[in-house]
Amino acid sequence: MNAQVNAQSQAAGPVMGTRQFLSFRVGAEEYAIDILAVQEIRGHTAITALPQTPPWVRGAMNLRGVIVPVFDMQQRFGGGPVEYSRFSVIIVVSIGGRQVGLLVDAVNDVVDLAPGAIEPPPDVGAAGSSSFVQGLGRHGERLLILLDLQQVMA
Amino acid sequence: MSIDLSRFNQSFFEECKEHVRVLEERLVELDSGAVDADLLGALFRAAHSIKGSSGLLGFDAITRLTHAMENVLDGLRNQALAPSPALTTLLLEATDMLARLVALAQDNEPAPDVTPLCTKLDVASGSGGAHETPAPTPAPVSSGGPSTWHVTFQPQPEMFARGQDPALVLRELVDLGSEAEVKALLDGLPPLESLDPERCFLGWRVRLVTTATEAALRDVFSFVDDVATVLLEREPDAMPELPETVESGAEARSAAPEARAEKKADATLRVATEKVDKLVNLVGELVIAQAMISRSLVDFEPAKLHTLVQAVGDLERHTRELQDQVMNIRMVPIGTIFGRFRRLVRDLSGNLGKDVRLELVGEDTELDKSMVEHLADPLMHLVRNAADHGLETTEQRLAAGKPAHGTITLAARHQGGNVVVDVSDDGKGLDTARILAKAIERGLASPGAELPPERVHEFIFAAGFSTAQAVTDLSGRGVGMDVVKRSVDGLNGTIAITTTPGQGTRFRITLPLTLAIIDGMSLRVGGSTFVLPLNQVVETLPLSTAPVRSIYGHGEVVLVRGDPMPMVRLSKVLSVDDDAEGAGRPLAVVLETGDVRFALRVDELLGKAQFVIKSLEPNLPRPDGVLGATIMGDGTVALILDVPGLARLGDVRARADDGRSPLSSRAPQEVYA
Repeated sequence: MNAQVNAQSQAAGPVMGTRQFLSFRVGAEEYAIDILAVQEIRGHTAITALPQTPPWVRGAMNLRGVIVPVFDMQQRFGGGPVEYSRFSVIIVVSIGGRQVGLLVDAVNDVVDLAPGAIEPPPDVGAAGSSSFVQGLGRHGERLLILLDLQQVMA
Repeated sequence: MSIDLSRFNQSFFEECKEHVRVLEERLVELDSGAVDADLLGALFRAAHSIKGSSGLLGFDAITRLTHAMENVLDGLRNQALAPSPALTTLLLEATDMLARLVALAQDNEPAPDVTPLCTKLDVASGSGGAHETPAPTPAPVSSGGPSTWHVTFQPQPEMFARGQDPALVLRELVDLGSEAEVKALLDGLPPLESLDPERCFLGWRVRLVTTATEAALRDVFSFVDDVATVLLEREPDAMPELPETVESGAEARSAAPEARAEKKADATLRVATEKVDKLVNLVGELVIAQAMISRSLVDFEPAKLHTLVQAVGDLERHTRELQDQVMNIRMVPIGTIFGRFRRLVRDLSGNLGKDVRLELVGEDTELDKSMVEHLADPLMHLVRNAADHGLETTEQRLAAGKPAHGTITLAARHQGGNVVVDVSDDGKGLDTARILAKAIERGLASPGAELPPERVHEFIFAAGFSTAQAVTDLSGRGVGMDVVKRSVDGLNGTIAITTTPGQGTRFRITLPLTLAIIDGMSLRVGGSTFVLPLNQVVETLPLSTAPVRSIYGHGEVVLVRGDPMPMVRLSKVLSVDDDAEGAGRPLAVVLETGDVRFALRVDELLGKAQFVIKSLEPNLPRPDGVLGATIMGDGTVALILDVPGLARLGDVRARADDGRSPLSSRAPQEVYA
């Protein structure tokens, strides 16, 4: 998966500094994360609840023998729990040696964003989840919320 | 180009440690008087192997020291020298120094001066340093004065073809010295008619007076040493005879070579080829089994089902075997640490003025490498304690009608899925009355409490507890037994004491085979599966036979044979939904950790099995009450519960046997399930 994505990124990079993002949907919003952090995408996987953890830690899954916690992104952003069904998708990301599964409603596609297409995050006051937002990406008609994974995983 | 030999350093260090271990273990045998050729051969080989490799890799101090040791051992082998305790002590001192040198070399730190020790060894062997030149001749470590070298430089005929010019090399060499004499060696020169001008037939012998070190001289040849033979010899008369010093030995001893040497011990693991071969075979069979499954799935029809079932069965079997074998790779015999105790006991005998003998049983018992390393310190404490406190003085022993020499036995064996290590002595046994008095004095027990002796003995594991009349060099400061207990706990093990007054004491350490796998009990609470470490499970009782009472201010208790015991619910401490009250047949699992005993309410027991412990970290901080996770047969994740953590979360207080708490339980009826 990763290798394919990287190969694509090399083929399709006409503008200097263009970065690739994986876009996904949580609730009504479309988010995107840097594709280089994405390790793999998993379909429905058994999740075991973990006690003594924040509500957005949905549980832990077995990723080929490694125990990986799964974060419910909707709850991470302060919403209610995502309905976990066999259509749910878990994006496994890896940052700084830590692996975390992000439970999202659907994965959309990979988008190229030139530096000019990325805007700083809007100043929307004290909204609790705005610290997760790294910027806003414009891709045609779509507006993607670019996530700061360091903050999400903190 | 010169070959970079430093990549061999790591395996050299490993090898050295092994040889040092042999030296330590077997030198002590010299004392027994039964000196046979086998023993001396083994000792000589150990010293000789280190000398050979260290010379090759340029660890000169090690080469020098082992050379001097070798001379002494050779003397013993030829019966030119007679074994004596003093000689053994000297050789052990040299072994200590050797271990230290290896540790320093591993840390890339400069070696200390070994000359005094070498001189002592040379005096002992009567070789006086001029006995025989080790190859290569060691450079002086301390002397700053010039020395005379004979350098033989014999290029191979192809040297010119490699673009090397011997004249440049010679000039560089001569520049290093204050005085040089170069002589051409013409032996290889063919008659004129067959002389090929593109080939080099000359060699040179250089007598050089220089202050440069051997390494510096060797550096000159670093570009040509694959196309030339270079021999460095040093004139022995330049080596200064230093007066004998006593400090070096003491210094070597206090430097605790083991501690340094083990710092990086985890980096590599030496595995017997046989074990690797087994793995290779198993993987081969695994691949075949997998291929069979793939093939039977092509054009699958129900009639072929039995082939598929059989193939899956094979796959299962091979996988299990593979798991066993992979675990087995980490297994090392416990003898690797037992050996050092021979040395310890010998030193203790001397220091304490007691005649102590050590008996080792079951040295081949294998357990996980990391466990073996963590076990060394607790065992050391126990052996020290046994020698210092356990065993009486020779006079006391004779008066009690016992043999004059005390015996400490270290015995290891496998028992079920555990390793049992006993440290026993035939000394005076624990003084129950004094321990109790001390415990009362320290407020650990209340006066007048009726305690069974086993409970009293456990007080010696309390921090800072010592009944020794005098603080000796070795023990009695009250540090030790609590450390032992903590180390054993850290290895998921248990320690038990058996003592008979006048007959001796036995400490029994029971350990799981590995840290990565635990014996566990899987259970269900509500819709979740959990695992409890079996060594902390005391018993299980159906709640239908053990009534639960709610005590205001104390939470719930379950009456175990009439005694109240605090009960913890996962629904409370970990917010896990359990079965509704009255549904199913809930049970109480009685758990014990340290001083705490409590019951855990579970909905169903699923079974006992071994579980591979998987860490949640670094992906997630470990939640309180959870030791780790494991992967069940169906691929799902189950949490392994942390018993001390549960006790903390459930606010279960330490078991009090002095009657102060209304919730105290009586003495354990069966401590080890």
